[in-house]
Amino acid sequence: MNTPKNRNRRPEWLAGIFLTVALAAPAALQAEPVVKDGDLPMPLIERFENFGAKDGIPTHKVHAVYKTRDGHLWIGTWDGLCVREADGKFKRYGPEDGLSHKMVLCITEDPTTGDLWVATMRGLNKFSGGKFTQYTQTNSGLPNNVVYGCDVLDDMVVVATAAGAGILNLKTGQWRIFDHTNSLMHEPWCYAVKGAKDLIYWGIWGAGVLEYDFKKNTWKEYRDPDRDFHYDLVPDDGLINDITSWLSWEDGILWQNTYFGFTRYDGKKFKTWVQDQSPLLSNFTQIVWPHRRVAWIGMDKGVSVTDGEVWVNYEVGTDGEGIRTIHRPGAQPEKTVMNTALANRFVLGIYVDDEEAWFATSDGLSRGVYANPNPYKRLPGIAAAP
Amino acid sequence: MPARFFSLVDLMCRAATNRFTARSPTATRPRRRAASCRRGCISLLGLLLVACAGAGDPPPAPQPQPALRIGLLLPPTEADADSITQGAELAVRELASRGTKVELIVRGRPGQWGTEGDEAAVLVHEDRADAVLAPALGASAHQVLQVAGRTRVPVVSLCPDSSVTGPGIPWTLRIVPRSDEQARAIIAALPPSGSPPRVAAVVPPERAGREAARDLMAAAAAAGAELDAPIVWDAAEMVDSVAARVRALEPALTLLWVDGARAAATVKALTRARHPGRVAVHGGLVTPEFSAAVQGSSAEILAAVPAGFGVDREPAPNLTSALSADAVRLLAEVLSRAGSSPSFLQFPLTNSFAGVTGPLRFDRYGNRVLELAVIRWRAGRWQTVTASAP
Repeated sequence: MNTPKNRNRRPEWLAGIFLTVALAAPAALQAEPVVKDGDLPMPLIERFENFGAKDGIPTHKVHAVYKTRDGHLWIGTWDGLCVREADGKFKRYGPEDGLSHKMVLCITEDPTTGDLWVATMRGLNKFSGGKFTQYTQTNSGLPNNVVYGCDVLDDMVVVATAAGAGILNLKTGQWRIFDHTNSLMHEPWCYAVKGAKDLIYWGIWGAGVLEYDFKKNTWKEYRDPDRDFHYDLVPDDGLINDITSWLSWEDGILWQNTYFGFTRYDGKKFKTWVQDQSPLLSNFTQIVWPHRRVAWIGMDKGVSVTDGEVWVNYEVGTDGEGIRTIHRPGAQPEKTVMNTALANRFVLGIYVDDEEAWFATSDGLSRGVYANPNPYKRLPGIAAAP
Repeated sequence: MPARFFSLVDLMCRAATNRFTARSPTATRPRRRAASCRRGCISLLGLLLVACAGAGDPPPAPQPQPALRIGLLLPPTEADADSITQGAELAVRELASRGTKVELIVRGRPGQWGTEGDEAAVLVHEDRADAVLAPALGASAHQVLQVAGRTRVPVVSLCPDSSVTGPGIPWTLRIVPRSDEQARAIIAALPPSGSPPRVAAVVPPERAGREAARDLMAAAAAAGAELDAPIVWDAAEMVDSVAARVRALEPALTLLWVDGARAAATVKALTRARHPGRVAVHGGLVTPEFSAAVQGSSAEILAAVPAGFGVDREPAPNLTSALSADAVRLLAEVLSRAGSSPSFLQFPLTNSFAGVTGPLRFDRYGNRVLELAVIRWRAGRWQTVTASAP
């Protein structure tokens, strides 16, 4: 009978097993887990490297991260724009260097010229030839000084501001401004923007997503069909929520972040995810970086990576340990404790390419090192990068 | 005893008697309790002094605590600016008397659409506000929320539009009852009749009106009342014209969701025309200014306010001021608890705080969870009619 009393009388052979396991456990914990990612549509991160004040980052709050084509890593922080130099240290640029404001919200690169475009809490900046050029509401056609997002598409710089959308024609220097008076915009509060071949997508605070065909000069609006802020009454029927916290587009797929879940739109069908009914770590999603049709989603509880079927989540445990969980359709989740973790679970910015992943967090910068170098070379059937 | 000793005792007494309780900010301090407390404090302090005498090294001087910085965004178009400021300043004084230093930073300048976002960013970055109090105007409140979404600075909003808590940012709260909650409580307080009550609503033009209309129509639907499209009061329209449009609908209840001057003028116009239906206003008009504007009118006016907020008193109560005071107290409490850790990690708030407008509890979306009382303006003062569950 298994009473509490005789439960303590374990046979001697069982004690031997316990002893063996106890002796082997430290070695097992120290060793990095064996990673089998050949069947996954995305690279697995095997460890994180974290960066902070010791590396020259001026503040723990990092909001944006971007690697330019020349290999330089740029980060936007609460206290300036920084670039990682050859010695691994970060060099800071602030208002004293010509940046219009110290808080950087978004960074992007002009693929033609290599110029860096930097959105801040007060103004847009071009960094070219080591100098900043400021664009503000008073010295240019910028719709509003609070610039939440920016992107470069062909000869245009597109911006999302607190009071409208803007397009700067780089050839003419002319601005076009769109708000609720001259577009389909239900509210003028633009919170994100992304160029997409012949289209521009703006994420609108309170009005879903606006699609602008700049060749035809036509607009299309995508909204949450149920218009309910807090519940997605019918899954996959459209955007999950009208308050778009971020969006991105790559290779024909639009991804929408909201504070109540996440949406994918491939031009024909919508797919929505919420945390209680999918592996999505949290409904409070803040950033998405798509790479090879895989979305890297940053939120308040870490990072979720998905192609829509397979998910890999990266969390920070209560003792600061990294937790990686792989969710395959129809299979039990595979949870692994990692020796390293994201600098902070609150992820605000992401950059991903074939070699590495970078994460801007509320308490420092993290680099995700892939388990296998050049993972995409080993994966058959993965579409080539656009 | 030295004067410094007495001033310290006074400070302790004040701290003990001015606790953050459900008490009106205008209520007088209970002198008897203070006197009793003073005697107790003198004894306690005396014992402490005896115990400490000759006890070796003097205790280290207390480190001065930096003041908590609370930003207050008040655009020039904010009708409730005076009430909001008054309440916030009252809370700052009360907190100071309890030893909590709060610095209030007020910003708001005229400008184009989006100026409030710019100002909110300045509050957070240049003024280094630890938290922000967002105004009653929905457009302004949303712009503060957008900045909060990126900066993780806690915000308490005074806007009753339901959309304000739509984003669901954990560190943003709404301390006022929603428009739809207020309207539903008022409709529910109507005397029962055999058929669904017919309700009219008057709202301002443009965005503010759209938001109010949506909330009021939702309230009417939930309360089983009939409400067609609300009457939008354009800037050029005269009050008699609006009153005529109301009367043509023959409503049992008219919800006046406009500013104080227009609401008071409409009340008077309907009274002159002997309109038999009842009228109601939003809680933001439970102010001395609106009370003065309708003084002398024989009209009966309904409103819904937090049940914990006593209105049966003189001078005329100011709900906006009280809510503003509660908001500052709440933010100060949260910031104090956070200490050196990021304050947004304190959210969502799971416990209840005492406020002058009743318990301060919030749901997971940041909406205040509260009971509402329906009050009635009659014969020159507000009186409580009924309380309703949330």
